[in-house]
Amino acid sequence: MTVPETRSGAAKVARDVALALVSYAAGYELRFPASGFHAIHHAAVRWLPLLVAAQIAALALAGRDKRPAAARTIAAVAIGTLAGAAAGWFLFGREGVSRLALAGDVILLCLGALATLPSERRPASDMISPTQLDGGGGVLAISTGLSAIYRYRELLKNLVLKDLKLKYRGSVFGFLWSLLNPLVMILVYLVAFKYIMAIRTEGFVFLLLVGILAWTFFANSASMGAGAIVDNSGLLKTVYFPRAILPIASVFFNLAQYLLTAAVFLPLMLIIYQVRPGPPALLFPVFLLLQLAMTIGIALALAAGTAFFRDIRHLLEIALMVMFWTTPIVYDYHRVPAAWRWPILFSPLSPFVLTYQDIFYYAKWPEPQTAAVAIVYAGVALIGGFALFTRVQGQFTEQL
Amino acid sequence: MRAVIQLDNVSKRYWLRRNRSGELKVRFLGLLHKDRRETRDELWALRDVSITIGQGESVGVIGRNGSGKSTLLKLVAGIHEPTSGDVRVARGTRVGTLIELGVGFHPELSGRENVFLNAAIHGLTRPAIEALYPAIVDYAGLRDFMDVPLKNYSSGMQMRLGFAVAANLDPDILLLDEIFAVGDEEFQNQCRRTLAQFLSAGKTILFVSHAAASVRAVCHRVCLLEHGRLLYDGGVDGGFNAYHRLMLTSSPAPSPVPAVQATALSSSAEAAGEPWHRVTVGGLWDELGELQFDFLKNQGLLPSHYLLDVGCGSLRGGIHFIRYLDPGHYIGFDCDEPLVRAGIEIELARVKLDPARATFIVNDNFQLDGLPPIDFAFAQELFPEIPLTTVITCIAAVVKKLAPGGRFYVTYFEDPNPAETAPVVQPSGVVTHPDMFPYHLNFEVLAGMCRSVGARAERVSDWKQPRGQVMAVIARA
Repeated sequence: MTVPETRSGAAKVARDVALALVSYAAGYELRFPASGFHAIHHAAVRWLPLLVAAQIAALALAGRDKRPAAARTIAAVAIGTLAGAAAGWFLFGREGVSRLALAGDVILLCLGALATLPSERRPASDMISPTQLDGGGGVLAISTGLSAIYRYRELLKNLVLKDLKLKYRGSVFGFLWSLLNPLVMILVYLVAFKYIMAIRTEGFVFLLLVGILAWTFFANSASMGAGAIVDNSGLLKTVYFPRAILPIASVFFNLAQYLLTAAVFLPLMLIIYQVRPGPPALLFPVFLLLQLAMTIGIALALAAGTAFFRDIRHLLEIALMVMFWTTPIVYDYHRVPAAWRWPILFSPLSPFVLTYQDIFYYAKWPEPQTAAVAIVYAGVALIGGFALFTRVQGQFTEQL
Repeated sequence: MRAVIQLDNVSKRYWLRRNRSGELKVRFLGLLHKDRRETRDELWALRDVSITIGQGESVGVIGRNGSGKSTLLKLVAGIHEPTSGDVRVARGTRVGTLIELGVGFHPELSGRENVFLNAAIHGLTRPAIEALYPAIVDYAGLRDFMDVPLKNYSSGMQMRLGFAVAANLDPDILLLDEIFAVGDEEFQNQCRRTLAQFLSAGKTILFVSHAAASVRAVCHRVCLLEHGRLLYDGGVDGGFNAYHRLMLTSSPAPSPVPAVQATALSSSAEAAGEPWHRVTVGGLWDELGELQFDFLKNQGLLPSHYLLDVGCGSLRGGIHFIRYLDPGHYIGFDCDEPLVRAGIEIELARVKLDPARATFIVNDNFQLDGLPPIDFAFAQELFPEIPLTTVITCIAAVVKKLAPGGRFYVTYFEDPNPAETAPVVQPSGVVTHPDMFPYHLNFEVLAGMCRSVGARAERVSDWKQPRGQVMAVIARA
């Protein structure tokens, strides 16, 4: 294990500043969508030093360098953020303040602290806990977890390949089945919306396809990920490996399917609708990565939760059904009355679907507001999912 | 020898659940109905187990079903986390776990694909697996079957493939759970040959089994677990002797100290005219009392020392010690209250000693709380009267109370042949048994039990006891 368990103070401050900036920008955009980044720029510059300084002061008071206890650190970060905000309010007034940004600040910074907090001090001797041999286990730090998964990348690859092989081996049409599924879905919605309900939307099938492919990736990953721990109890009980591999493998399996189907359908659509892909389409890998991060985080949280409460799988089915309709897949977001738009943005996939539609069909750059929300969702889900998963993974073998 | 596995006061608690709250329904109903609420009982699978295993050792973990063997293995493997205590392995070692053969094998995949998946589960990288692959195929002897789906293999072929992967992974520490129980003789022989090669290569093996033959073939050291506690840590023969005796005296829970029943030790001639409290402890009352006293004085007992008389009975030794030691420095322990009372009221009164000069503790589970550090402890003729599980409870309790440099002298009937569990005719004519009163005990078993609680035992040779019991001295390691 080579990852240092205590980071330098500078790295911590840099992380805090980055998280604060992201949440500040996102929160401000959500609250004042009309104004641009330039409007908040000077306010943010004035506020951030106060926030970060107050956090550092609170952490120093809590004695972070002696023995980091998760609860104390989180309390310190939260109190520090609020104290910094109060100081800013007192000094500069409420100009440029966003309550949403403040809430986002607290949540993000707490998650950041939780995720990078080592839960165990490095032992002095040559003897270490068996779960530390692979750099995973009891250590909460997200980087340690990721390095363990990297060391087991061969297992990750094998698990994904196994699922792909098992899915298509022995069936006559093989991969064609994966194309048929979205095709039929599109056909059904096309008939229902365009011909029965006579709703006219320009480029309906194109938009529908972009949405359905991204949705299928997300929804299948979530339901497979939820069972990743419970369905592999035999494996978990007989050998140690970084447990997070299992839900991550189910996400990557669905990613592979997503990319394969997208590689077939997307060029087809571009040709049929005679859309010339513009430079914004180059942003696709960035948002795909963000969606991947968010999906991994959600899959980790669901997998951990299902190990303790089997009901989560049933709840998830219902939640996915609701989410499908709160995500602008089969309808046009821009036609939704403004008052009803905000609940749509709460659906985790909405910012991604909107962005994909923007960059592929409309060939325009994604709106900064949507992009900011996407970044926040990805960060919160990934950090929170990892933190939750690593915190409870020691109890999996007893729960199964 | 470098330690590669270290367990430090390890305990593991499981919750046995009824009305599991894995379903939310149970949570909600539990708010309304008391009997639908989740109830959980705790089960301590391991209790305060400390073991250190050096590089190149092959250690067998034995014990009956539910004694905590597999839990121990899974803690070292990192599959479970201990409830308290520390499990440590040497930094930089590779731990190979063989709790089940063919972990993660999938019937639809070919033999080759399964080998790659199985090796990846054990943490190998692609180049490493590719380098090992030919050796694995050769070892399994399944060259012509590697592209056939595993579902077409016989169960024997699947097992061979599973073990072939495990045997070629080349870990520094190998954790094995009962793999010899399966497979035909040829397979078992192949396993043993492989393990022998492992050992000669300086690797460490931790092997869980109840099969004596397998453990003897592989291990040179045995740890015996009973009800989650380490009962014995030492040589293989002593370990199995203790294990077989446990099976014979099979009791579902640790038994309390039985009431003293030593009348069988004394002849009727001795008993004639003796009061009951003297007969009960086996007669020869005066002789043995003086013998004890002289012996301990020769061992360096001073009036300022604290003495714990385990099984003080009716104070045949006590009357000598109480007179000799400073007030309050004699502590008498026994489980039989009437007997101790008789000792105090009759014998102490007879020699006109004040009972306040001594401390008495009477209970049946060796609760020795609140005592000062003990310099000398003595258990005269106690071990022949109590079963093995009680002996270890006694040793553990007394060793914990010993002062630095303190010693615990015990007498017992020697069992000359630990490989068997037959009754033994002692030189004095007494017939001793492994599973009933009067019990015998092998020194190696005693030493192993002491090691399991962090103590060591030595034989004491200059001890002549009329009934032919031998003596050992126990001190902290």
